[in-house]
Amino acid sequence: MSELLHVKDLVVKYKTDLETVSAVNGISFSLNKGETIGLVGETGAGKTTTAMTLLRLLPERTGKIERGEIIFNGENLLEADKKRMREIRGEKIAMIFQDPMTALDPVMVVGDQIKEALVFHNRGKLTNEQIDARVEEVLELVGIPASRKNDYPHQFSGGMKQRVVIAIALVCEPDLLIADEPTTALDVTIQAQVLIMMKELRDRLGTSMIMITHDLGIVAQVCDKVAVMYAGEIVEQGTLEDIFAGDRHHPYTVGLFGAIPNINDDAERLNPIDGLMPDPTNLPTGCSFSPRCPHCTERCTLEHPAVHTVNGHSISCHLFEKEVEG
Amino acid sequence: MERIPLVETRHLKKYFDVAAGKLHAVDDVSIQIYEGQTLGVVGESGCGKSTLGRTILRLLEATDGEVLFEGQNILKYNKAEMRGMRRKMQMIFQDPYSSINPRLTVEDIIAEYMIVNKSFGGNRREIYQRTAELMDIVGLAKRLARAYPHELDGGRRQRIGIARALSLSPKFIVCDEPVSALDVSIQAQILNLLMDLQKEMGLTYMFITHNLSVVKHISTDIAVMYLGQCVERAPYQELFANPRHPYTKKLLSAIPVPDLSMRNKQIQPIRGEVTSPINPKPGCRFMSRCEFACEKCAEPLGEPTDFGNHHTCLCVRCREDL
Repeated sequence: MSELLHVKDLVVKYKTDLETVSAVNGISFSLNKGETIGLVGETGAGKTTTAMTLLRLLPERTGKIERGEIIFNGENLLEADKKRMREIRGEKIAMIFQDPMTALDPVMVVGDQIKEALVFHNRGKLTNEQIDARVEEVLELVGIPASRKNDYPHQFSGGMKQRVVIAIALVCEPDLLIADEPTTALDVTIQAQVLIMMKELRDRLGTSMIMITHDLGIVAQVCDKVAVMYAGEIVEQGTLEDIFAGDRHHPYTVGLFGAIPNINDDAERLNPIDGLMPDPTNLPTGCSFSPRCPHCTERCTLEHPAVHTVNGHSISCHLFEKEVEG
Repeated sequence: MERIPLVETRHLKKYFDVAAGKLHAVDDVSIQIYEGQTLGVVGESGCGKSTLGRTILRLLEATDGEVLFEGQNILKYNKAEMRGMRRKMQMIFQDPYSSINPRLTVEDIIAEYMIVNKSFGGNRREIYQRTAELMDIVGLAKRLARAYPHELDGGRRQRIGIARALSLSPKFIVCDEPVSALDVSIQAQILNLLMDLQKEMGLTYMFITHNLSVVKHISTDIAVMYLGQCVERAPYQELFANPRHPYTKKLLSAIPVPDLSMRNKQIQPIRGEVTSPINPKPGCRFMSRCEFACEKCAEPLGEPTDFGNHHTCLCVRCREDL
């Protein structure tokens, strides 16, 4: 399989006069064509900042990319100029935003909102009739009758609006689809409909996908690879089997699995992770998970752990150093 | 073991007047909540679960029906009687950001209910002593007593909400989505706290949530609501093992499970979306989305079918093997 996206040692900071927020601290991952990677983590782990950086949509004044490379189809996106980025956004990389209620323009009919990207990226290839036909095709694809293309967003329910947002993202058949918590605002039954639809579309169009979520259940259903993020770092990364079935894990991954109530499990008590996420303006020296880690040693508080990789399953924790060498 | 209901609703109805007609938010709901146990109420957004909780506490006036608390119909109580009653029943709100006063310190927020209710004969020193105890019970550090809510994170704010609800030593607490605004690792801390408090103080909870994994974890009994009606009710093991209502079955299968063995299971999602609760037709409200719908479903619904063992279901075909 050929590599579509490779993110290397990406560091993103938000700088204001008062403070510097270390949002993403040196993450690396890659994604092949047709694959889906899940970015998992709690609020403030840097998942959305990563997505915004890929699209170069960080706030101009405060968001700073300190170092790293984003290689997309052989091109380093961090070196692309504004004009080139505009060509890529929507056509090559598209994004499904978290909240369908605010992602749509309330005073524009949905058909026109879907059409926007097509017209912008058209460059005279398609006639108006072809564009209209494509809009109708995409609407049908996401399960909305084409006759509703002249309706306004408020005439749709939450699940339908999210489908419209997905239709907008898919209309140019992007190579990479970034879905930022696409179902968090939806009810479980609607969530199931949307997830099934996204899976079908991915299989049919061969799109690669980055699925950002905090729901491990969704990851297990949809993704091929998983990257667990904590305080702006990927603490564990591997295939779905590595993360869900393997017996070696980063202590944070173990904590995350222990903290979710499992519907198939009859445990009396949950095992929450003690403490809170570290303040991103003031990250601890050493391992950023060390203040909450049950296996914390003195070394963890002083020295930042390296990434230890075995058969593509990587964990950044001092605990796994010996296993890799031996 | 015979269980005594602490709170019971009988044919409780709450309709809202809207421009298009009557919105049936809670329609003919009869549930029992047993002393020292937890009733989990689940359903999609707009199914009336929050309205049910609020109507039971009389934060909203019921349109019809009865709410029995320790056998007394509290809907007949006058204002003064209700004020006494409110000490016994409290609420924990969904959003810890908007449900506490940003201009009071943590200890003042927790003490407020006791000051208003003149606990300890209105003796401030004793009230603040009790406040310190409550902070200890819910796991808030003493140094935070003079802090303001904006200095705290969501989990700690929700702990303030819990301490405040406990301050009048209630018997019954309605928890309205108390963990849905929190991150998973914090959510587990709060759920454990609620369960510990229940064990120590013998509290009775009505736990409203849309998260079925959470509800299974904390509840003794579960009521599934759909468009204002309680479509199925059963002890939690029974509900998860033998769901009877087609809606419950769909709801259970729609949850994404963090387990690889379930990855390739074929989910049959519910087609369509919740229909309008304004002036609903008689008959089953799930009918338009149900694959087992038949002519009988359009007829007005009778009493729910009782399977014994506290398991009831509001579906005309639930006795058949579907």
